Amino acid sequence: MGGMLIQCQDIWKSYGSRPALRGLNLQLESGRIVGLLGPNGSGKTTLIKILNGLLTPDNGIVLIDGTEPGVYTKSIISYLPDKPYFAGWMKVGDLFDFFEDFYMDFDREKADHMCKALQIDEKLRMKTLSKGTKEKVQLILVMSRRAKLYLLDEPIAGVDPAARDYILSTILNNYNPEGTVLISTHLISDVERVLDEVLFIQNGQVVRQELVDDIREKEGKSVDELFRDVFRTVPFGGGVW
Amino acid sequence: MLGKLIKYDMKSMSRAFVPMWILSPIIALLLSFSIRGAVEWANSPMMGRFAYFGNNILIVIMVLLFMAALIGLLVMTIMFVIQRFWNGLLKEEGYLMFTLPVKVWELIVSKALTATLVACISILMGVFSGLILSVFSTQDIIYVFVFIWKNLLSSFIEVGPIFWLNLFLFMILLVLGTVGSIYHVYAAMSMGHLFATHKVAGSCLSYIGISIVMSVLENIVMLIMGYIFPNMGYYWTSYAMLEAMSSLSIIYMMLVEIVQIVIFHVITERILSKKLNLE
Repeated sequence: MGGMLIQCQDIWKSYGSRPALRGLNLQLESGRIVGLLGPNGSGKTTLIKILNGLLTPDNGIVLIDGTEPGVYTKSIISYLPDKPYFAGWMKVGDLFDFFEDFYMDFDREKADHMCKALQIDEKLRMKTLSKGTKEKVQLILVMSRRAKLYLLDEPIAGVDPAARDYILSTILNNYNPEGTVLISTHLISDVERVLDEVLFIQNGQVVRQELVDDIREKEGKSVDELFRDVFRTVPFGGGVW
Repeated sequence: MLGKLIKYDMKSMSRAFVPMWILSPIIALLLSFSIRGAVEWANSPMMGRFAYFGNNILIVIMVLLFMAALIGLLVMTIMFVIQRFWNGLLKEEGYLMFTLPVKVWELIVSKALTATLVACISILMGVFSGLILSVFSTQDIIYVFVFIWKNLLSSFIEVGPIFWLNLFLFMILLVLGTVGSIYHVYAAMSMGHLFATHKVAGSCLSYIGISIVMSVLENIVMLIMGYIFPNMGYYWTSYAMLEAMSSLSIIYMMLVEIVQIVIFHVITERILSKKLNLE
């Protein structure tokens, strides 16, 4: 299991009496763009938060680059959360300073450059920005790092289709090629073209893990079609007999 | 990394508190002028035999205002301590802080140091504003200060350096007490964080629970001390002995505070390291 970037063994996690992960097992290699796909409430965000140390699993082993979540793993993980996490008083430039201070792999020039390209003024305070602009700033911060693992939780859920394309190409053009990108989403058709590998997650377990090319070759389906097959829900009032 | 964390915590706190620290003595000064004007008016011949009565009422009002201002400052400081820890670590901002490549103890110590500094400066500014208020509202008070100062000074010369040492130790004890109270709140909030629901209620319950456990422990220690050293009063035969005893008891209280701080820190650090759940 030496070359694995992520290893999860029998991860259990519940919120009170509500289980989110039920004995999840997972192994991921370096240098891939992986889609973490599953319906709402299947455990995607929980898994990502366990990988970056924001949640503690009830049971099981998590290893990132061979190490349990801690100072080292945090220094190699670049995390895009599903909601903004800034103090409102900070200016965009303050956040860049902040990341430059704490992350050795943060490329300030790249961040400034992306900021200019997106026409975001670094002197603006975070709380004055629109929701979409906040998300863009967050994406700039995350993609300006040369991380070994990018954990992107729903990076395109809240933005319009034009911005989706921009965000996906930003991810594609800026990630560290030796690193792995894990993108959680349920908007599969939008991300499908960038993925090397997919993880289907359902009821807190990985139900399928496959390379995208294999799916196309073996099953003759797109990831979107396969997803619909795997997670097909029988409509109410139908299919009883 | 701790230094960088402190830098950012200082930055975020200075935004809220520096204006208040600057404003409070200015407000005290303005208030003192209006009180002085009112006192003069109350003493004017126009008021006749009500002058004495009016004067006293105004002084009572002044004292009440001063106390209200101090309480306001205190409440704001406590709110700040709670809010910076709760919102800064246990809510959305925690996503940012807990994914930084820093150790959990560094996050806690940075918050505690900044909070202590805020609390100490607030207390100093409160006392300073109070002084301004009293000095400028009735000038008689200056004579009172001069009188107290002269008399204290002459007694210091009699009692010697031990008094100064005790005063110094007492100041450190006050600072330690502040750190202890801040850590008490931190430990309670971390324990509240363990509750699946009603985290705020859980924190309040934990605060009360910790207080009860701590006072029981302190009483047990006091009982044991009383058993080992009975009749402490027997040694209070001279002023010098009294001073020595005061030093010892201040040092004892300092040790109690330090033990508390260590316990609270360990509780907070363990919970946030091993049981963190930012949902």
